[in-house]
Amino acid sequence: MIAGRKWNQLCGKHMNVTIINGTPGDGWDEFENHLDKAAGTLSADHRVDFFTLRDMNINYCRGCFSCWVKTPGLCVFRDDMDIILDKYVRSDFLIFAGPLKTGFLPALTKKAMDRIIPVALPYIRLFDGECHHPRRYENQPVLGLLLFDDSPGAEAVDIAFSTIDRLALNLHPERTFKFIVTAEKIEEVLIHEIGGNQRLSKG
Amino acid sequence: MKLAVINGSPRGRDSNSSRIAGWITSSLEGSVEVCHAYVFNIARYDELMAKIGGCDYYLFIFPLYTDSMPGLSKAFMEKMEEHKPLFSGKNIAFIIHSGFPESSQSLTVERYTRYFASLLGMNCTGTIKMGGSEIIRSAPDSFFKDKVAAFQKIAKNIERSEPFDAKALEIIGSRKRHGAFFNFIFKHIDIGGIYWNRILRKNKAYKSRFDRPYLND
Repeated sequence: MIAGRKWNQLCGKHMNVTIINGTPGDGWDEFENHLDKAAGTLSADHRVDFFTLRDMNINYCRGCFSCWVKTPGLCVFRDDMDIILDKYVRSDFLIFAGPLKTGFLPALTKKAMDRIIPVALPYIRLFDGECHHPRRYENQPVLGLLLFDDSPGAEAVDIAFSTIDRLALNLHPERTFKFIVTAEKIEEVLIHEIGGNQRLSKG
Repeated sequence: MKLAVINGSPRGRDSNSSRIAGWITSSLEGSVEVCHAYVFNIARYDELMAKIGGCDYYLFIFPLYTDSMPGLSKAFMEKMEEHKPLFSGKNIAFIIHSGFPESSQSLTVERYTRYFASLLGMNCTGTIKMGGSEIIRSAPDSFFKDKVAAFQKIAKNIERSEPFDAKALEIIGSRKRHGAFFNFIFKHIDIGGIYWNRILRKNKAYKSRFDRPYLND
């Protein structure tokens, strides 16, 4: 399956791409416009599902573990996270995009990230001397992070990148990618990472 | 001294964070006034800022959720940044605990706790990492005798606003990564499996433990 995905990517075949925009609010219009435009460009060759978290009704994980021990694979909350997880389990790419807030991934993004745990099993396996959870679903999308560049400082960026690497230890994607990007670079980076026959849009 | 204990667990009062907080606050001298704040009630954040803003020392306790702080803890941190003048120049310490047994899982978010303190102009007196916390709620204190004693030492450090006792930190976060012996045992006895399957059976959910509801298969 992995080989198949890479082959498809190299050949510019149709991919399922889920983009999660965790921008908390105003002040990032230029970045969001470029992200929107990039999603539009990718849509020419791929199926792109684009979610803006601040417009969605998603509850914070309350740590009840019902999704592991009462209704396996399903959270107690029936909210918009169902729509994201429904796409997630069919995605080739899951990409978190947005700025840092208070020097880390925004609470909006973290809220969605916490709610991904139904796709993992509660069981624990050892990976390189550490305990991690096995996957519930066979498919696990490539995990991407696009940070909007507002000169947040090297330490904050490195912490955010490391957090994605750690998350990957539990979600088991075949690879991750992490970039800090200016608004103008968003489209170029996404096309480079996802592949396909798209041409950069003009203007 | 006024100490604010910020409980960063979405489980609130019935959380492992609460139990750990109790180990510390029960050992403090009477001269320390303790003020509790819970992150689960997001509608009350402004009220909570006013409540804890006058404290001298902040102890932020949170569990590890998907490799960093819970979303609610992060929301609370963002609110603290909005009220930065209330916190600048004051002491803050963190306790990060994880269900996973090894404390190495919390190294990345530990870095963030120091970054957050510097962002708010606070003095980070220490970040404690503790593994294996999921069973705290369901086990008696005697099960964690050494760790409870270590947290009592930490309480004294907080009282005196001094750096944390190195030996206490070692006891609390002792299992950093697993060695060959643990790996051998773990390979042959699925301790986690026994724990989770017992709960699944109790909930009559064992048969559906591998369900994939979003694929409907």
